[in-house]
This record gives sequence, structure tokens and C-alpha cells, in this order.
Amino acid sequence: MTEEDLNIALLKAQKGDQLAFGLIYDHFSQKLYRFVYFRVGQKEIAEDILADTFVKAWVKIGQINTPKAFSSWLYQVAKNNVIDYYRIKRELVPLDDVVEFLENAVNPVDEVNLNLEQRRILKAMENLPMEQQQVVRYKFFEDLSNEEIAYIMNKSEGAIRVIQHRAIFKLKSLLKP
Amino acid sequence: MKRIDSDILDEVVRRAKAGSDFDMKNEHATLILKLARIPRKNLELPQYEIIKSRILHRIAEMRPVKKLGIKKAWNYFSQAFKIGGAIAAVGLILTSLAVGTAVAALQSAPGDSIYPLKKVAENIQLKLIQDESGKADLQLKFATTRLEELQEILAKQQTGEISEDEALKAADKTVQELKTTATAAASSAANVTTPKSTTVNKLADLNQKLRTAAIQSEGTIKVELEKTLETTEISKELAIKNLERAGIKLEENNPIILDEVNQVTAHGNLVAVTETSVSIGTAKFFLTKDTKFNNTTLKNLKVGMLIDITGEIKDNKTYALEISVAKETEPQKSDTNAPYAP
Repeated sequence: MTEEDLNIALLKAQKGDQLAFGLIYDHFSQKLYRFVYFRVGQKEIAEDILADTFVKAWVKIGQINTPKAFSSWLYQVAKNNVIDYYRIKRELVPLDDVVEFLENAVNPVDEVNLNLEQRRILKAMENLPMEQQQVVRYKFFEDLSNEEIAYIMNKSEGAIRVIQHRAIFKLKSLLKP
Repeated sequence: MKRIDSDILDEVVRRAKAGSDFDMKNEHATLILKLARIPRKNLELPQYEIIKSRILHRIAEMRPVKKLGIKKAWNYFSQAFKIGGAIAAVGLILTSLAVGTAVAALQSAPGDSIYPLKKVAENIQLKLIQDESGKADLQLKFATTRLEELQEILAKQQTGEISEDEALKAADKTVQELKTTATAAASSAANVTTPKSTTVNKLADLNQKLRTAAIQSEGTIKVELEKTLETTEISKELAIKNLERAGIKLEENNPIILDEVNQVTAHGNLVAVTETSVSIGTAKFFLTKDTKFNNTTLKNLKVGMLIDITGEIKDNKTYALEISVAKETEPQKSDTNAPYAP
């Protein structure tokens, strides 16, 4: 779906057009599902959180100005739903602990089928600063765009690109024989 | 314009992931290609169409929420009462309580444009009530409304609909007003010589809601709610003292719940049993010929038994309507100074 099509669908959805909202769901659902799944690790839970996120989106759609703002908002709500899931599951877990779960719930990498060199790369990644590790993981292993990573990490897109650049640079130096 | 390294890098990453050709002379190209080729787990994919139907079904079942913006609110009033402009709503609130009710019924919340009108209507309602008891009840009602508004703000912040900063801003004033209203309600209740049992009940109810909200909140809001809780706890004590003066003895942890006007339910260990009365703590319930014993008899009642009593207050005395045994316990020494043990 092009940005223009998305804009039209958003305008229609804001007027109550549920079919148009369905198109918006088609556009965002796969990426959002992946994002949620890697944090909760269970298909059924991820499905529920995905559904909840879009239902909330419908309620608030009148207040969203652009598809970009909508995308950002969706990720925020999905992230908060994941936090709530862990809170309810573990009865008021401190937020710091929940943040840890957010990053480590499911490893998207297929560790069973790694060759030696790939294992070396992943090992070297552990020595990157946390922020750089996150960006590399989101970018390469979760296939998120810079824009999406920016929403999740509450940074600008420019900042994400700089972090990515530094991460690759540092990783390269760590991997030097 | 010279492209900065991070832009070029981005392009390389994009092409590597897409499996497209790109300039391998880029100093990072090799590493990027290796990262892009690291195998990923196959995701257990959902049935997106089924989830979509669920979402559309839930949306279709939703009742549309009618929220009037300030412009529509003014239009509503000016049309209804044939007076133009912003003067309409304020002037009409001063002249008619019905309008105040209509304003409250718009379900405005902190942050909404017409929220101040809701508060003006509440103040007018308060001014119109003369007796302290009625004032206390109304103030308790408003305090409960403030608390519900606060809980809505907290819920919105937790779902990400508003940021923490926005929540704090909206909550700050609401919490202050909650404190003021709850304190005023409590003072009014304490000033009443014969308070209605419902007033204490409402205070107890507000206490419970405050306790829940305090647990659910964090930071500044949590601290303010806990302070308000202290205020209402003290006020509840004062109100209970007044009730005791009216002939109902209540204990610190209050096993007595006042359900409706002049109706009492109690749950606790018997501390005294006679042919004419039973006591839980320092609360004495007189027995009448109409007292119903559900799973026991008066003969079987023993000190220490855990019982449930439904009673009513008449002529400054409390009469037992129904008595049931909750469970058998070891007989305890009759000690009216012993604290209630739930």
C-alpha cells in the first residue's frame, strides 16, 4: 500500500469506514505481530495483543493526523500492551524488569543453524553498548525500518541511523582478527 | 549534497536484506551482508484474516461514544435555550440545576474543554444543599467522581493513549481536588450529630477505591493518593465515633458494613451471647421474636464462633434480623478490648 493510499484509508477510517480500517490492518498487522511475538514468545498471546492494539487504534483513530503518526502510535500501544501483559502475568513487576523481558523474550535468530562465523558475530555483538545491540537486532533480525525502530526506542530516525552506523563500525573492529 | 556515511550504510543494509546488488567497495559491506544472512527462526504465523474478523466484530459491537467538543456544547445550549454565544452555558447553569445535570451527563473528563462547566455545576449543587448530612453525601459523591476521573487518566497513561507527562498534568489538579473534596466530605460527616449510616458506608467505599488507585499508580500521584487516604481514614474514624454516639458501637477495623439506610451487616467472632442479645466486638445486636437463625439456634451460639449478622438500626439500637454461623472456632475469652482479628 502506498503512503497516499494509506492516507486515504486513514481518512475514510476516521469517518467510520470499517473496510478502510481493515486495509490499514492489512498494512500494519504482519510487522506489528512480529514485534509483539518476539516479546511475548507465544502465538496466542501475540494474537490477542495484536487484536487489542487495533481495537484501541479504532477508538482513537479520530485523533491521528498522518499515517506516520498512526504507525508510531501503534507501536507505542503494542509496547504498552506487552508491558501490561507481563505486569498482569507476574503481578506488578517493577518496570525495569519488564523492560528486560521486552528485549529477551524470544530470540529471533535460529541459533541451531549458525555457522562458526555467524556465532562469532553474535558473540561480538554482546560487547556492543545496549543501544547499538538493540538497533542491530531490530534492523537485521526483526526487519524493522529505521522509522519503526525510532518509534520503539523513542528516538529520532536520524539518531537511529547514527547508532546503526556506530554499531557496524564497532562490530567490525571487534571482529578484526 | 554529500551523503553522510549513515545514509549510505542504510542503503547498503537495505540492498543486502533485499538480496539486491550493491557496491561491495563500501568498507562495511561484507559485515552487513553477513549480518543480513544470519538465519532467523521461522515464526509461528497467525491467521491474520481470523484476527481481522475478530477486530472488526469487536469494533462493530462498540457503542459510539458521543463526546461533544466545546463548540458543539455551546451550540447545544444556545439552541436549546435560544440564547446566543458563550454566555449561554454559564448563565443557564446559574439558573437551573437541570442544566448542571445535563453538563455532568456530557461525561467530560479532565482535559476536555467543557470540564470546567462540570465543576461549576457541582459547586452550585453543593451551595443549594443546606444540611450538613446532605452536603457530606454530595461531597462524597463528587470525591468518588474525581477518583473515577483520576483512574481514567491512569488507565489512558497505561495504555499509551497519553504520555506520562500529559497524565501527570491532568492528574495533578484532579488529585488536589480529590483531596479537598474528600476532606470537606469527611469534615461534614464528622460535624453531623446523627450521621446517616450511608455516609460512613460511602466513606468506607471511597477509602477502598483510594486504596486500589494508590496501589495501581506510581510516583507523585501515588503519594498524593496515599495522603488523601490518610485524610479519609481519619475522617472515617470521626464518622464512626459519631455513629457510636448514636448507639452503634464499631471497632477500629470495622467488621460492620452499612449496606443501606439503617441496615447493618456484620461478620466476626462472638464475644458475648445472652438470651436477649449477641455481640461482635463492641457492637451489640438485640434479639427479637423476629430474629431468624439460619443454620443454628440461639442455644448453639457460643463465644468465639464466627457469625454473620444482618441487622437494622431503630431508636438508636441495633436489632438482629438474621444470624448464621460462618464456621466453628475455638472459644475465646470474652475481651472487649481485644482488637478485631479478621
